[in-house]
Amino acid sequence: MQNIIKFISTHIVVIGYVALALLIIIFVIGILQILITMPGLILGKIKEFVGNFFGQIAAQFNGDTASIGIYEEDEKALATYIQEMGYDLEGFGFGEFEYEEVAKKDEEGNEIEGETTTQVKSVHDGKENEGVRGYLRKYLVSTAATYAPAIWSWSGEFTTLFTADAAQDKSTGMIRIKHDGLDIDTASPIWNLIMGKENFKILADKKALQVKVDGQIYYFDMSDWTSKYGKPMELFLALHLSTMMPDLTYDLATSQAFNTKVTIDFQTVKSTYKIKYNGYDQETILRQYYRMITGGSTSASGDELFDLIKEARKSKDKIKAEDWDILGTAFADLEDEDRSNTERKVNKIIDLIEDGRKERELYWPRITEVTKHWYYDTITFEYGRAKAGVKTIIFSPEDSTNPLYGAELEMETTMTSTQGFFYQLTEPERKGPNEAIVALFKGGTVDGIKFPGEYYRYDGSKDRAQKINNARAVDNGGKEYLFAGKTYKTESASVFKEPVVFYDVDNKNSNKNAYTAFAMLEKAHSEEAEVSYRCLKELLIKLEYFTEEELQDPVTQVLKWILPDMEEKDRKKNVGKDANLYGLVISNASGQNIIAPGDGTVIEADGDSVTVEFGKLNSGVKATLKDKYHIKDKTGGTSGEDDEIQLYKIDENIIVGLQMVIVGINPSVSKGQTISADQSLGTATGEKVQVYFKRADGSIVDEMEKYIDVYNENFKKE
Amino acid sequence: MNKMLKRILITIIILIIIAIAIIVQIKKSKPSSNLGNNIIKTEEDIKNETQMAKQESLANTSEASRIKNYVGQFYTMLDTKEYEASYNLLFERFKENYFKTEDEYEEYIKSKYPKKMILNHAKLDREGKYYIATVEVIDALNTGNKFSQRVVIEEIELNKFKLSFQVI
Repeated sequence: MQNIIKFISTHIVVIGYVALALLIIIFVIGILQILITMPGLILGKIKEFVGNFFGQIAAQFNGDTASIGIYEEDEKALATYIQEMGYDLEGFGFGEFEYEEVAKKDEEGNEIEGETTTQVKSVHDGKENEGVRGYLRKYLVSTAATYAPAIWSWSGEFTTLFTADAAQDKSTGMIRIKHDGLDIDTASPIWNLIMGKENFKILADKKALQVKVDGQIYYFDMSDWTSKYGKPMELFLALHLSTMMPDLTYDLATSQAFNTKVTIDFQTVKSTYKIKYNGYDQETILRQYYRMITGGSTSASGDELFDLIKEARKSKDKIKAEDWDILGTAFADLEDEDRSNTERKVNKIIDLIEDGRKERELYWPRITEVTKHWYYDTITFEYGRAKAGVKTIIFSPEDSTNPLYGAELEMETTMTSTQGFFYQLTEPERKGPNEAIVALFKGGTVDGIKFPGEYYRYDGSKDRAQKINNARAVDNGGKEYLFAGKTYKTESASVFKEPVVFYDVDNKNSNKNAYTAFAMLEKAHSEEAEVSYRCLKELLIKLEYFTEEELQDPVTQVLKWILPDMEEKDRKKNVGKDANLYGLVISNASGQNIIAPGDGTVIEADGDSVTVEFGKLNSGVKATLKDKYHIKDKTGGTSGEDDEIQLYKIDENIIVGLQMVIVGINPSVSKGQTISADQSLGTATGEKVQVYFKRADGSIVDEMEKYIDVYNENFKKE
Repeated sequence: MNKMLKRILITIIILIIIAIAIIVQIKKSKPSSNLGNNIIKTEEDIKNETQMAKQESLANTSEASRIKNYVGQFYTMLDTKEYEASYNLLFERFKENYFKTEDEYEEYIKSKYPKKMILNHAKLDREGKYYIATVEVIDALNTGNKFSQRVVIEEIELNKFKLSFQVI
């Protein structure tokens, strides 16, 4: 025993090292074990976290905030999407890819035995001297810029040292945030933490701008606000496929000339608010509450009412059980089986109302300028200063422990500032096309940036794609070029750059492929896609690639909403879809009048359903639509408003033959009867009404909202 | 006499003035023919107008769309219980083989087809003068209830056709 102790004491250092080594080995094995067995999702999250962290560090140097969070996986997903649309990735000039054979899966995601499919394995981001360009990555980055911040960076600072530009102008992100006129950096949480500027944050996944102030978090929805100035993916795909010149689209995605910046300036204001809930104003809510806790009624208002409530709450802040039946109508939807829950909810609303009287600090945003938009010249917003401004803020608690979690309250917020509260004077003038976009298509130099105006044109074949890779490598002094995973020696170029055209590669008299590509942009429902589609059409008409008539789209939303007594806010709640039923299912409609959304003929009225076949648009509808879409009758004159480009036209036959079926109606019309818009068709029999549209060939119209105005009430009766 | 003549003349003039005023008033109250909004169309006018627009649209559409439209018309007739009209579209030989009377046909349709139908056009082939369309017939009130059916169509002239279908 003594020998052992002696051995240990003399070799303690060695034994210590061995033990440490063993521990390290066990630790490493453990880490490897975790990494091997860890689900892909968690591994992906770690990868994403590490990538984002280093991306943010790098952004401090290069200003590239739009690339953060874009990985090869995203490129592969985009490549697969394009492939699934039927385009050969190499043949249509989308870049260089490696493929792998994977098992084919059925609709439920189960592998089909013995069947394989080709899948993109990796994407080459490209080297110009090898003839390869990473188009997809650039498209993804440019699209992501819509929700990325424009930050100060070292490279931005150096490149703008002797120019009037700001360092933020060189950042890839589109949103430049200022607070009371001073730039705020929002890219790196680390940087912001150090600088104490963590108040402003863009949440790209939520498409929102998060602002923390006075212990409260506010979100500003960017998807129908700043996003309209962004470049959507559909714009790149539509231009790429309609011109078959990816280098043109590449320049649109990467050139500094189109590095759009939307400047948002947050003004510090003092604010108070008044609550509105379920359509009831706060004084009505307070009076109902007073009745609930005291059993008495009051007609007091203003401070007097608040004083009454304050007094009453001191002694009776609980709703008495015997008073339960007098739960105010304003709180009707808060009723819970557990009465203490209802109490907590009601009391929380009253707390909020009382809190609204206290003046608190708030930052309110306004767009001051949009520069380097891809189509428009600089857009400047003009503001006046008012003593006070009133805006509605939606209050919706995110914390599930908040008694009002899931509820939505309107806060009518009054804002003041000693300098005056900024309010927009007029809609800014948006003029286009700018010089840069014209140069992109026609060639030229703008602000020192040269646009060739000529690009390699793909034709869908691998043969031409290979020749273009060779030519591009030659242009960039390369000795070898890459194509379809193989390296080739460069030869003299056999294909040449061409001016921009939009006709089909195999038929100069047809623009069929271009129209198909434009449809991608047309069908995308984002704000940025809608604006981009309009700008693109205007551009192509102004540059005389197309005539106005060729690019005019018929107005499709020509039918009224069928339940005129259902208010717009209720429609959002009551109109939905059912997986087992076609069309829209409308709840809470019992007994409501159902009207014809347009002129037509009743082709079936039986039991609980009515089928209407629509006819031509009448002159009243045409006049309303012309007004709404600013369609003027061209006089053939040369001056004034007639020169304005009209992107819409009225097709009076747009819904001829389209059938509408309503199920769950007690018909007041009969088969064969002609009907006109607004005419009653009957009343809803039950809680639910199903409405769907069928084409003349019997097939379903998937997006009936394309024809019927479900939410906007553009045909609202006077 | 002169006095009498004067009175008669004055009366005639007044009557003429009144008549002119009435005529002017009547004309004013009539709808002006060049104001499109005020043209009153009869039900017949509207139906004819719609029919013409449908005919025009058919004439300008592709061959495949036209045939699908015919198939759609047939199923819409079943949907809207136009049994007689849909029976009249069937080939005579087909009627003889399967539905000798309209009653038999109506009974069959009522027993086999959902109350409200949606079509999913799966396939369209042509063999000589006949088109063979394969459609999926889906119950609009329960999308899980569906079946496939073949329809054979012969286009006689624009918007005039005969057909038969796979009896199931």
